[in-house]
Amino acid sequence: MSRFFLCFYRYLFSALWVFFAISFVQPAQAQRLKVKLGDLSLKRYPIAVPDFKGDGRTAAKTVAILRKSLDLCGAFRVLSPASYLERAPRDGFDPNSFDFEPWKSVGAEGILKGNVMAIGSSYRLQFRFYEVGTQKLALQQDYIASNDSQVRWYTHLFADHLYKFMTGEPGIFASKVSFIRNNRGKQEVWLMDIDGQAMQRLTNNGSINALPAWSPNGRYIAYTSWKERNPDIFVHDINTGKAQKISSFQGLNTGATWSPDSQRIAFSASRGTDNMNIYIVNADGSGLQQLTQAKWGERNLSPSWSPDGKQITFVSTRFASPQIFVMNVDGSGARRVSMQGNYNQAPKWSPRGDWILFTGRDERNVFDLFLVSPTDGQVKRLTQNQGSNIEAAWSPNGRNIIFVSTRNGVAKLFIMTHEGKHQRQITFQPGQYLTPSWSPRLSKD
Amino acid sequence: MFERYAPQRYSVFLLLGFLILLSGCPKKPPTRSYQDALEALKRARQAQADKCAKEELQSAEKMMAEANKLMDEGKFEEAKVAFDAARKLADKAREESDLNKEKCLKPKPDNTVKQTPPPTLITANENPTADNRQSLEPVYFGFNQYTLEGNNRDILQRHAEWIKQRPNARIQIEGHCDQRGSIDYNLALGERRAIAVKKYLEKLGVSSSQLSTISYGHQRPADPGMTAEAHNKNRRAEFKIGQ
Repeated sequence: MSRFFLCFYRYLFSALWVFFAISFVQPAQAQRLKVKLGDLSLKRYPIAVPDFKGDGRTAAKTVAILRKSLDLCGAFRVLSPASYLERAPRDGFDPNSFDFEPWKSVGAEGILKGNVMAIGSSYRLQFRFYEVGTQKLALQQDYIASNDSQVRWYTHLFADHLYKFMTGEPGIFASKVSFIRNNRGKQEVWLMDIDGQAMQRLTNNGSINALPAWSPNGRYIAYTSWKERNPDIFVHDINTGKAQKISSFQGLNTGATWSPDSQRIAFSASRGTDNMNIYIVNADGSGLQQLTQAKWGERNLSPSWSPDGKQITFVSTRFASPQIFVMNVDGSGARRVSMQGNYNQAPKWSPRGDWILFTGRDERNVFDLFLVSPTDGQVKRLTQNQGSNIEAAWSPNGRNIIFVSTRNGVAKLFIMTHEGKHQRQITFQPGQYLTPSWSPRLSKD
Repeated sequence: MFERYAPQRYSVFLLLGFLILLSGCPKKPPTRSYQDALEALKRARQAQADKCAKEELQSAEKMMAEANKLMDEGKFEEAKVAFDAARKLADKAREESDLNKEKCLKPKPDNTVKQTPPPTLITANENPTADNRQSLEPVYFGFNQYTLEGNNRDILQRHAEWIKQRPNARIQIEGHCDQRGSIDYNLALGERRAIAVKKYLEKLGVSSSQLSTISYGHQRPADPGMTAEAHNKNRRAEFKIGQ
């Protein structure tokens, strides 16, 4: 399912869809879509999510997940439950079992209702989305969840359906984030849902682990680990739970990132010299290729692939200070794209291809997140005056960004829109949270 | 550098951008001049201009830094002129150094009794009671710096003597950074620091088989704080001694 979806999305969707959308499908589509994602900041869709019917604890949990997640993505404005007027006897979740008037008066344009019924140890989840304007049922889904974690999963899956219905684009909810959590000196790779819940530890080697990178097919996480003393790159297979070492040159092996087809990994290595170069290797560790030719102590690092797999953005110190560069995937045609600032790092090419996200240091020596256009060098600032904001990653649909911020003291993870709007903290538990990497849409929990 | 949000100033920048466009600012960075200058500097250093033509080398390095700054600001034309100037200065430093070499490299008459200063030994903090293991004090760096200057060279000189007296000792040089900026850049910077130290020790005659390097970026801070003082303590190379 996942692979089919991804293939479909990557190869057919991106090429054909754009073509069709422009030619004739678009007018009809545009009428149906309620949220235009280019203007997230202008108007978020006001939606009411009243308490669900049915099994008390699980229903409450499901509603809490929906309210928090829908609010996170920046496409919806979840109206405060305290403002809901509906206390009438007719407050069912099926069509014709409630009145729209009370919802109109609280400013809702959509109502998400639901019912959770316990069947033995399983649950039946029923989601119903109504549009206030047409007073009609617009979207419905029923699921059977066999345990608590499946309840979470299907709730997020429905949120994805709703996001797709409203925006015409794939949602972000049925995905996860991997990151490093530094808790009392232990720096392990962790995973969680995008709302900061359901945290689980992936590595447990008691050493230092850094820079996890989720493969676009969802199956692997590459990371740097000092577990065998030298900083080497490992690839963790989520299906088997086993990790394979794919680069262990003398010295630093780090910054692994995946090609869009998940077949190859770009990374950087020093090989014990004072130069650092970018290499590409097959996901099984074979077929090593060197892309850059550093001289005189130059460092080339932090590669990130363009969505078409033809180019790589990276950091180079070839003009002394770290700057963002772009080169072809065979190492040719390197050019500098960041022309402002003197300390630019950690570039991440957007899944839509139009921007490169990076961490820069501004004229006040504060670290913030910026976008730079790989074609004309135009720069947009995303964060400002909120502590230091670094090490960002894109959502798989390119509409959201997860990043590390110290605005509340210790480094925690935040989510914002691709325009830097609607910034929300998602991790609150103890420890520093570092270097997030967003998974693709996953087919199964 | 990065402008803060100020819409009323947009028109000024547009105008400025237009003017720069009109003035025919070259789009390509002067890569060639940069590399020539770098090479000239390298040759000058190889010719030991740091000892025999100190002032000339310093002015070349200063010009190089100036050129890099211009480059960062996108002023490629000016940067090219500066790089070319740096190259000329470096060439001059090399020539000067070659001329003075014989005189300046001759050991200076030394009245004091020649004596190796005692190695800087401090007891390992982590394990004060465990054994008689001793440690070599760290060297510290400036922000985004990895070059070794004055005081650090003295410290490393003493470390080199200490290591040379113990041919069985194995020293791992750990490169560390302060906790600002991205983890991957700091890993590379820490690596660069460790290797700069290793190279310097080798230059002082320490066998490379006794030395190894590792970078921890900013993942093992000496001081977990985010103050300037903590940053200063964290930008360091540490020495771990094994047998």
